[in-house]
Amino acid sequence: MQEIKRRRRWLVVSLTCAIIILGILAGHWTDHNVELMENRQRSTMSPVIMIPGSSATVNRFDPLVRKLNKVDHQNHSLLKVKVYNNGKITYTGRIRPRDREPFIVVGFQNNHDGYNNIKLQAQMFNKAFNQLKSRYAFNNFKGIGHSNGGLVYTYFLEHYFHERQIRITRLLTIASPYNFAEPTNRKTEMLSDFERYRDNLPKNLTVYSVAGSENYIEDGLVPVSSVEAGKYIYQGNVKHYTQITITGKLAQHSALPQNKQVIDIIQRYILNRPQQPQQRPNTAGENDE
Amino acid sequence: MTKTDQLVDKLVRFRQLSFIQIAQRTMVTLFPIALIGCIAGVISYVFLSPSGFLGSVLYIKRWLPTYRFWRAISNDISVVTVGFLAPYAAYTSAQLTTRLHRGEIPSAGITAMACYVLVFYHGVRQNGSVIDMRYYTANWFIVGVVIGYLVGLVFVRFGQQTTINDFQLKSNDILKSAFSNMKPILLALTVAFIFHFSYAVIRYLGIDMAINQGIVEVLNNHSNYALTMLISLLATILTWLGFAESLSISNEMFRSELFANLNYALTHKSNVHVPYPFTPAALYNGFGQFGGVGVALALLIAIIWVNHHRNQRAVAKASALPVFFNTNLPLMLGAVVMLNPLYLLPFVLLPIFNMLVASGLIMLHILPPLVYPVPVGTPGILAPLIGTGGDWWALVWAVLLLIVDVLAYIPFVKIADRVEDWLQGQRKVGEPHARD
Repeated sequence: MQEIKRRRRWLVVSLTCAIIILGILAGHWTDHNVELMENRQRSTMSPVIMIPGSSATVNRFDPLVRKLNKVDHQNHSLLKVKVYNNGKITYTGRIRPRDREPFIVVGFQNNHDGYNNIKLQAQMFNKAFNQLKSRYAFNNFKGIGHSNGGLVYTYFLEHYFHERQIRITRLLTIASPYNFAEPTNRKTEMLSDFERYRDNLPKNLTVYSVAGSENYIEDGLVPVSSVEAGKYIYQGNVKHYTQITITGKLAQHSALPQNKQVIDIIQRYILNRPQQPQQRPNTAGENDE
Repeated sequence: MTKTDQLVDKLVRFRQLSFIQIAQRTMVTLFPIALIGCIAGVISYVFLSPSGFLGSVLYIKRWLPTYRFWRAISNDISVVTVGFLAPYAAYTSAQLTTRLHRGEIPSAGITAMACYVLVFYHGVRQNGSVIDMRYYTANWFIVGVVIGYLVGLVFVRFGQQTTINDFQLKSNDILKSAFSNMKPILLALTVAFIFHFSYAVIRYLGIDMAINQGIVEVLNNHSNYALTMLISLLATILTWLGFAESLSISNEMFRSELFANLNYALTHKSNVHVPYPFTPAALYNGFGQFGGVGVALALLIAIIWVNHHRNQRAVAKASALPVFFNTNLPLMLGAVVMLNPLYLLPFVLLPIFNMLVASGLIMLHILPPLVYPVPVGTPGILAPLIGTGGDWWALVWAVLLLIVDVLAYIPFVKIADRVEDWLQGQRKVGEPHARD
């Protein structure tokens, strides 16, 4: 009898202790978490996060942002984030207070070509993204990837992006070689992987894929067919998928980010419209009628 | 003879059915492995993960930058134990079956394991990996036991007593036994291959995916209260049978309602008038599973509270940590809850009872609805606190409900105790059994 009593007392005491200690910790965490989530929900910031292609640095989009600021007079700030191979992340530039639509460029120390490097870069991008989302409490963002940057984005969205509160509303990939330099009838391992995991892509995403063409076939580096292979990944799987081919002056692969038409597309389709400042942030992606 | 005596008598007879004996001995054999795996799993998912409960409340990301490495390492332990429990169950149950009806045949177990893997391993799958890990986890435990039992029966019928486990024999004579069990091995593998083939056709045509998607679609489109209760009922019954796979479907459901609620609460900074106050997923996760499916924490407390058998209590104590963090597998195996008709009633009805009471409290505005996301592995008892965004009354009500659940479990544990007494009384002739 004595033994049973002792056993029961021990049970009640240890359970009560566990519930009280963990309860206090949990209550504390919940308050903090709810506040964080409310702040994020209220946030009106909707950054454009850009990834340059292989061999390019974080300065890759400087001319693009300069030209954009010249035409739309929104004075977007530009923040450059560099991820080193050892995991270190450095920041240059800053986001102006109350800038609703800053540009953030995420570049990598390892900026080499090839599927394996793209996987690594997606992992590094995820790291940077996680830091960015806790630094700036945005609840939606837009993506731009030039060349391999678009591939890194695709890999990131399929494998790392599982956010409850943050949405990617629009994605623009510029001359991204979804099938590298192979012809359509020879699928690369990367393209088949992208197709395999395409169900993980956000369903509410609007995607634009821009191809450059100098001579009916390629933009000087990437075959148009390889860019168009993006349809096997996105078409019918995200909300909208639009393929655009740009020709003429500055349609060369590396010149595309400075191309006037590309800048026009970004301003028109990727950026939020400044004349509708009262948009609710969480419905920012719905007004693409 | 009183009614309880009759019940005890029936339960004892049920326990002596050959399949039930095999299943329950398999559970007990695998209990230590499962326990280690579950503890490793709790460490990996609950403690070393920033989205886990302890990882969240202790802010693991801030002071353990290498948490990913440690999480992966401890996850490995959980994968090789709990993650492969179904084929292990096939092995164990085949060995026990041959042992029960005949002598031991060493190749029976390994054949059963091969058969199990053969049924689910497909190289023809169009996309996705060849090995689909989910078929090997503890969720498919009962399938492993059944396959092992059937293979065991094949060996009992067609197998030969081999000389391989007779260490007195010279090496040359051992070879004699090499082909002696070819017949049952071939037979078992052929039957397994037929299943393998049919399943391969189904998978190749994508029928399994279509069915799965269809179910999810229906559930997504027709979210209502009665359906939730039905799903909870089904999920608990299947878990009681040893098949926990259905739960992963139900967790995917009702996402949109959860999102709508959360969105509302965050925008309005209040969770009082959310659009779906009775959203089932929240109720189920919040009040339906203290200690995992079937309110296992209440059962654990009841066992420690009234059970007279030291071994049973030892099992309960050892399972306390994982059960507290909502992993009920060790208790299910060790305390013979699975396939035990005695526990079916409270196991299935108590979660529903809890949800009904909670709905009433929400309806009367005594409790706010549960809208905020709850980290992985949150102790069921704390889930209402977090789900309501830190309402302490929710915790108080959860504790009260837990006490009611324990009281409901106690009579059942007492009967289980008597069944155990009976079974031991019979064993006393052959093998002495300690009792305190």
